[in-house]
Amino acid sequence: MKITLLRSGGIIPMTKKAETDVDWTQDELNELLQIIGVERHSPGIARDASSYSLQAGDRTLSIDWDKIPAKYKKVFEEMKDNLKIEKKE
Amino acid sequence: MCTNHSSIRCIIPPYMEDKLKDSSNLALAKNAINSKFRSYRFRSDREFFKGTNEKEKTVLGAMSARKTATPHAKLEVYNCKKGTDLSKATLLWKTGSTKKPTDRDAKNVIKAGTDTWSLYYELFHRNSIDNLGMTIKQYIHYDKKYDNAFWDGRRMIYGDGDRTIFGSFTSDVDIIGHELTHGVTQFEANLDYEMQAGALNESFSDVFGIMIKQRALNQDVKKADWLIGENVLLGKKYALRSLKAPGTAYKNHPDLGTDPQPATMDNYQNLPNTENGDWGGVHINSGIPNYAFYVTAFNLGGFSWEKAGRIWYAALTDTAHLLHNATFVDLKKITVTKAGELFGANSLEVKAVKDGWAAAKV
Repeated sequence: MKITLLRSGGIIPMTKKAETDVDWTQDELNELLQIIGVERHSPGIARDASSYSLQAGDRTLSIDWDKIPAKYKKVFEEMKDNLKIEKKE
Repeated sequence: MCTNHSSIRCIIPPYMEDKLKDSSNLALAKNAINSKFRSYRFRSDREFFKGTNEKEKTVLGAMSARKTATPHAKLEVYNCKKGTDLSKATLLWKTGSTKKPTDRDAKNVIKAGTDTWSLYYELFHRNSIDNLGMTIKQYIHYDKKYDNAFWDGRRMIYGDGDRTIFGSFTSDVDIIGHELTHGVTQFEANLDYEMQAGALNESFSDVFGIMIKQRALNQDVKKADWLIGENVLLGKKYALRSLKAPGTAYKNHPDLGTDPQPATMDNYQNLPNTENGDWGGVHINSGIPNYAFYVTAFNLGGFSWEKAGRIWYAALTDTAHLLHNATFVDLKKITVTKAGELFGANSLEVKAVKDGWAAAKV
């Protein structure tokens, strides 16, 4: 399946994206999202901070980077290294 | 009448004092002798000071003057070594360390941190972010190629940039002043970080960031370029924001497109109050109050921090009136009031503030 890592926010608001193919099952993905998914309804106390979300299928969920389990870390780190700015006209 | 006698004890006349010291009551005699001794000391001190010249008086005054501690900037710089766990960052430098760091980013944040502290202290008598002398903690080399800088609620964090589109986020004093001012706002009006209040929060950071830069460069309102982040966004014709002409900091950038900031209220961007909507466009609609400040400062002339800066600082710290959910109209009213309080109700300063907000169509 295809997953997309998104980074948004920052002192200059922009979205960065990276895609990759993974061989996870739907159950694995669901379990992962349960662990790393967060509801972000307010900006919190930080200012100009950026945050990550994960897109899989038709779902997009804000994630807590620090909660990514060790076995998935490499995939996420690689995607982070390949983040590209979503170009605007 | 009491003559030749200690003024502090002259309620007891000398003849009575002499009687008392000869008294058979030992306690009374002791007191009287003590009193007479102090009187002599007092008279002799007074005689001595009568005979001193101006130079001697100055030296003695300097010796006796109580020394009060003068506040100074307290800074700490930490190296994240491209990691994201701040607890693993190492202390690179702190105020008082004799050895100066060689790291360019460390030098940048020390200089800009000091410039920021100085502006707040020397102009507004504010001692650091919390006005209680808080140590300014700055973390550099955060993450790999991290193209951002942020205030996490108690410290500043700077990335090195990807070196392709963005340079180091320590490259501009205004960016560092911007982040530190988020701290000041947190300890003052604590404006919400969404919708118009969020745009005001961002604008205060830009306004003080630009004043810190202009003061560091000794630039008046005419000489200044009013650009934020001109070194952070690589490319000679680009900057992150322009207070003078919001919406023009970058045009047709190959990756970022064109600066989306409006300068006037009729172009206010109604964006969703979500993470992807920049919490209602806090970094976008800040162009409007930014422009109001620019026009005010420009019309007043001289240095931006002398008059416009004082007015905006008075507004930011008036927590009874600038509420956490303030709107642009609220800040307009407060800045007009502050200009009147500082410079007079019919002053040119009040007119300049009104004209500034009118230019931004607020």
